[in-house]
Amino acid sequence: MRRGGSPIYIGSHNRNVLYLMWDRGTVVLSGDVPAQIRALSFVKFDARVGKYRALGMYYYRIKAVLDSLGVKYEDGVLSPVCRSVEAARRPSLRQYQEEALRSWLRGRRGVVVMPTGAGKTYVAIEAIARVGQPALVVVPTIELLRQWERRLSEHFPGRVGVWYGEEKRELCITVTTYDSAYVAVEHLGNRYPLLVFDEVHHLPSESYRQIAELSPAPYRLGLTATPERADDLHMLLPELVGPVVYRMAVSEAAGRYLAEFDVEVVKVGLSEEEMARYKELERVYRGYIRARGLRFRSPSDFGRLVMLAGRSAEARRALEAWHEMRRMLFESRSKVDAVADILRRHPDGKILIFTEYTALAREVSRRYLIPEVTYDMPDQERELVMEMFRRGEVKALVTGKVLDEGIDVPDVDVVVILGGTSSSRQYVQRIGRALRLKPHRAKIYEVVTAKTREVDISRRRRRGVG
Amino acid sequence: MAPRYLEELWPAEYVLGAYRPGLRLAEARAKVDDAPFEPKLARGLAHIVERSIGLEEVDRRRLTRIRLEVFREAAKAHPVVDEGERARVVAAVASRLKISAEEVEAALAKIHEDELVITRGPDMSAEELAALYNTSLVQTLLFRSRRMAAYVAADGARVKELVRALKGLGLMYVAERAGGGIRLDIDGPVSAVKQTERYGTRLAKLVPYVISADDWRIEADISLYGKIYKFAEAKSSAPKMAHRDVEPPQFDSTAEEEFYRNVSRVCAVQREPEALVVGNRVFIPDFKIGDLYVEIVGFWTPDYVARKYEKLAAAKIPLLVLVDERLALATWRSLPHYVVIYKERPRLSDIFKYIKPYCRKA
Repeated sequence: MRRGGSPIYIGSHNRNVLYLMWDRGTVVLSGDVPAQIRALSFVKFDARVGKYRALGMYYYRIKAVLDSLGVKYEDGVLSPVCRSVEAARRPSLRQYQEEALRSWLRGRRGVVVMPTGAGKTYVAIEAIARVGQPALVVVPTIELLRQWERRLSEHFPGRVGVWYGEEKRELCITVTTYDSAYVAVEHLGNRYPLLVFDEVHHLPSESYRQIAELSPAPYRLGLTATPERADDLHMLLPELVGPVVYRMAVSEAAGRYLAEFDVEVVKVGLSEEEMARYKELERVYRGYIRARGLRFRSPSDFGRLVMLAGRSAEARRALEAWHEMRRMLFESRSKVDAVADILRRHPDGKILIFTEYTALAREVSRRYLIPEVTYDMPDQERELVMEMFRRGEVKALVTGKVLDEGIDVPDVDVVVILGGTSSSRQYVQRIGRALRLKPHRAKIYEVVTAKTREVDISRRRRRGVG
Repeated sequence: MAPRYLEELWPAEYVLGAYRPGLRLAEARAKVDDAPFEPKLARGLAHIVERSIGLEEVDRRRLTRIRLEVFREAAKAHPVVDEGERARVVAAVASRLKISAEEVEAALAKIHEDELVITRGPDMSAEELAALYNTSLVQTLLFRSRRMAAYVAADGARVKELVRALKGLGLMYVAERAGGGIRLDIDGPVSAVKQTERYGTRLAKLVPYVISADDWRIEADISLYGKIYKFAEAKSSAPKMAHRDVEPPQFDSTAEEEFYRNVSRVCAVQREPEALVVGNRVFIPDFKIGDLYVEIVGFWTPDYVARKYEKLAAAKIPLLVLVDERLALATWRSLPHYVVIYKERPRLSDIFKYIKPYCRKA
């Protein structure tokens, strides 16, 4: 029995003392909650439990108000997975990396913008070492997860875990994907005082944003080559992660830290039959768009068409025509043929080929016997193939969108783009694979279908780059 | 808004027929793509059917080994751009691995799931497929829901399963009595501070539990294209849906099991009687003897015991509470119910005087 006969059902804290508790993505305040806290716009009374509640991300603001009021409270929110994190080996930073880090350390929040290949990972590793507390590193793909795990382990051996799909090992530094973190933040959120978001431009989307919102982590670092989003949601980044604390453009880095490059556009034709079908589809699609007076300036405008397709058969036909046109462009046979010429021209270089659809990647792989890295492949084969490519055991690799981002394939000399969107971000990221500093110029091929909208798509994505 | 239920059976029959043993998965999928009805419906049905078919078994590690051999061999002759050179590479790998060139080509192909041959067709009827499809339509709608209200009229065991599933999924509820059953307003911790669809997939997982009740009704706010739509469905209006078998009730402890065994020798004992609402929580006592409810409070985590105490303190029903002596005794004695403290297990001799007035012969 506890002192004063108070029964155990009250738990370990006194009922009247303000207590901050973690509850699956939120902070719950029980006991006497001061009026100044109740007045905060982000603190709400939760009638279901008769207590006050706020999103995890407001934890530190609540604490700051309480501290300034001089209120006594018990804090059970954070429960770090380890007490401290020390680096066995510190990375040696280039001058601009050091500058970026210093700028971030001022508030321990914010976004570092650097082109692909400029070594953002090392900035993050040193940031983790300086903060010295458990970190959750969030990345877009499993390839990137493996790469971060490898890099981090060089500096924090035995302290790096991963959390995704079947493999869930939590250690002082845990690497996870946006998809896994979206769900797991409810359980893992309060165990990591530092959040690192790789390719942070993904974060502001409606669902991924919740990783930042539900986490109580006071320290946050975002990394990207291009924070801007076509839907303008990057405006949320300052609240979710912090302001841009350092920015370096591609043009600044080319030639100094990154290789210079040439772009060659290779035009291929559709067969007569294919062209006739294409023109027919174009008539259906354009006819509808014009009749409806639709204009496409941003991806959300396209969402209008998708929405209309849910209601009218005409719109559905237009949308289906659009999809088929796209498949025709991105899967056309002549593109597979064009790869042969490019392979012949670079018998010694390392070549990376990007497609929009995995069907085309599969065909290129089958025909030229080069490995494919797509989501269709077993993880094990993907990993082995990446290793072989890194060691130079295979000279070429064909991939869908899996390798769009961040993955490190050193010494790629030639990038071939067989199909892609008009997004300049995707373009920058893909060519970035070939831009790690090297003595010779990198070569970029874009294979586009002549006399189709793909010519325009290709021009749009190259705009403002290089 | 209402989902477009599948009312006719022939589309279901068409898709079931597409997955014939002996075909490659890609061929079956091509038939589905050519279906003479809406592609969305065809894909939805196919998705369900593919979960129940058998595919030829392949050793993917072995396939990968063969494929990597091919890629290595091709790299030596890089670039391999004409048919003759390609055939030479395949032949070289075949002879080194002592298999045929066809087997090498098969390994290249069969790493892709849709190249595998169907060995076992779907073992379900068109009716069953339609019921599964219609259930999945409701679930798909709920993926975009922010909260769900579920009215259920069912025995205690079914309600208990629903509440247990809900808690296991990290959801929260507020309960109230409604008609002959219980209405649960379900959402999650974050819902109190932010409108969110994050619980949508979890709410959808509750559907099979709800629709297995004797009577049920589901209401949800669905967020689509930036607007909120009301969705409501009830047992009386819904098409046939896929039910869920309820697990036979398990005893939570040996104390419970022994109590049941001993008491049922002398009186009729009902296990997991109807669900009650106490405050805004669901309460399903362990047993009911006549009109008397019985709850056994074992030694458990302080949090659990605390919640149980609060629930019991608020319950306004004839209740016998049996408490493990290792819990704080004085507090429990102040409950407004019959309270018996037990050591190790409840003994019939200690409790018989309380149950006697309610006891009817077993």
